[in-house]
Amino acid sequence: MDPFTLGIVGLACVVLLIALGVPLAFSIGAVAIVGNILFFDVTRAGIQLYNALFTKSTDFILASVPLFVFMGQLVSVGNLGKDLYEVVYKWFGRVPGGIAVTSVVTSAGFGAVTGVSAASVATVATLSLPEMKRYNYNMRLASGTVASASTLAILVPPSLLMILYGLWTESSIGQLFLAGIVPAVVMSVMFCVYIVVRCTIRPEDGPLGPRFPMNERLRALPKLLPIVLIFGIVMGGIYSGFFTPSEAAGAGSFAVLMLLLLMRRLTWSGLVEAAVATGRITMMIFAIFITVNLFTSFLVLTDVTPRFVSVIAESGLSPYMIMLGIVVMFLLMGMILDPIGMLLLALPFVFPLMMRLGFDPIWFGVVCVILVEIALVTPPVGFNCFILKQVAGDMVELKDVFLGTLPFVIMSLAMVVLLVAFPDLALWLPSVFF
Amino acid sequence: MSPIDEYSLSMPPSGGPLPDERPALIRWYDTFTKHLFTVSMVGMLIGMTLVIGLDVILRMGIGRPIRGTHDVVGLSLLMLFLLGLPYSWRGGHHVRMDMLYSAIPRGARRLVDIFAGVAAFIFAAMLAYQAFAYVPTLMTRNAGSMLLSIPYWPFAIAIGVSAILFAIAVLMDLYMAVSGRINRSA
Repeated sequence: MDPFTLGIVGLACVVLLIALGVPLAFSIGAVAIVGNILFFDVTRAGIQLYNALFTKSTDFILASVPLFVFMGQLVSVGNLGKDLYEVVYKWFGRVPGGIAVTSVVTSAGFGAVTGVSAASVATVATLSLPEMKRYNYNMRLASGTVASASTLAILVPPSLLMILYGLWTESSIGQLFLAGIVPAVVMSVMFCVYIVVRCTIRPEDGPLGPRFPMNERLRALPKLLPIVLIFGIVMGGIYSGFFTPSEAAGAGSFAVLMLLLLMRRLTWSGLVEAAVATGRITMMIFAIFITVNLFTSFLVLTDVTPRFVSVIAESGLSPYMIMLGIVVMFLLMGMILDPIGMLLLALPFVFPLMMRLGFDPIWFGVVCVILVEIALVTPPVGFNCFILKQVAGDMVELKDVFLGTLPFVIMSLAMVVLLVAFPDLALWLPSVFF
Repeated sequence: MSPIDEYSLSMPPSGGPLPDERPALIRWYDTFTKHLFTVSMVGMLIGMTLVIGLDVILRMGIGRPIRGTHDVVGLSLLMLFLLGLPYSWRGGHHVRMDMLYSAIPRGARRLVDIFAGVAAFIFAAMLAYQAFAYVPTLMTRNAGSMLLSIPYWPFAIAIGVSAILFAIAVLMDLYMAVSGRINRSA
């Protein structure tokens, strides 16, 4: 069998195994190992596997993955999200659809200290959904808002997906973090404006919340201090040049640990809970990361990736048509795959293609993260919708959660269009700092 | 509120709790690997956090960072992965696309489980073999970390042991799949 055919057969096997339900990491890993045995021999395939595991697992940069996740989990068990919600509620609760607006602002703010959206959806849904039910909100709007807004957490730095994208594509994680800020702000504003306009036109969808006196609102502000401090340490450290992203992750976790100890919010069981949840995510990411790495080398060796890139790039299609195709592919993949699997499976093909077509790697990273965000709320495996349903119980039907996210999915796609039309939305801020 | 595992696609099973049909040995092994997982996650994460946190404070405060922080954190990261690996299989910490899987008949599902087990076993066996085969070379070459020269050969042994523990977990899972027993551990 010639190498190219071997590569294509390998690729087909991976797709088949994943479709059948074999765990991603082992579908990819087994095919990569067998493929390398056929391409080289058993000894060399073994050496490649060992080297992929050892070099990736001891890479200091990769430490940012568990440490940022750990930081987010500690923030979650320390109830810092609850403090944030209470402050935002006092300031925004009174506008039309105020509790929904509060959810959006809280989710974006929570993203500044977590980087994973599940912690955000669980926290915000627990606090806001009963409140919205009490005020007779349209529960489709309420649940759709919380599920969609929580995806902002992976666009606001520090973002786990941006770290993975940066590691995989060897792009600057610092630049990626900065590139996500303006799109995240624009999306937050879009979400809030939509809610306010809708609830102004149809007040029954989101009645006004309670009014808080100014002195009470001002008195609540110090509760934001821990979150501002953590965000300041992490981002300030990176952009002042004091830390690398991995050091920022460690310093951030250290700061959260110290803060929770000072605030007497750290319990042993909470610490264990945070560590175990971090471990679960880390194991899953590392297993996929290592095996995809092995498989990507196999695809390059067998000439599959270079030929794929050449065929598409030289097909005569305009770069924007190809970009559209990639968006559609991400949307379809997002309907059946989890965010990390989807990102790591697609990147070996789409990233070299996008670079060949002349797109900016940082810009493309932001686009990828927004597309992954959409995957988190689209059926049938819109993960955030499932978490929200678990938290909400009988308050809302799963069907209504999915339908409720539809306007937000459209707004997220509009953000992608805006980014294509105005790449500086993502690239301006990194250009100021780097 | 408990933190939620962001990227696991598996939803809690509907209906009442399933019976546990695991033999005593498998139950014991699950408990052992689960404890190994928990202890290593708590230990390694707190350790890495403290080392980096103190390194940053000392570097910024008195200009004297901890020497070899990158070496220690890098190898801790490896240990975190290795000690967590055996439980990851039985604990269901791997992502799978279960749309088709959950729709196919039970017999076909069992076949997929067997195939998944075989795929994971190939991975583990290959890794264990290569790790142990590499130890003499690493010892001869005195291979070690960049700054502190921490020797790599003990970590190669750790990789081999972890791969074997993982392979045992996979075999236990295969046994459960082949015998058609209800598996409650995950």
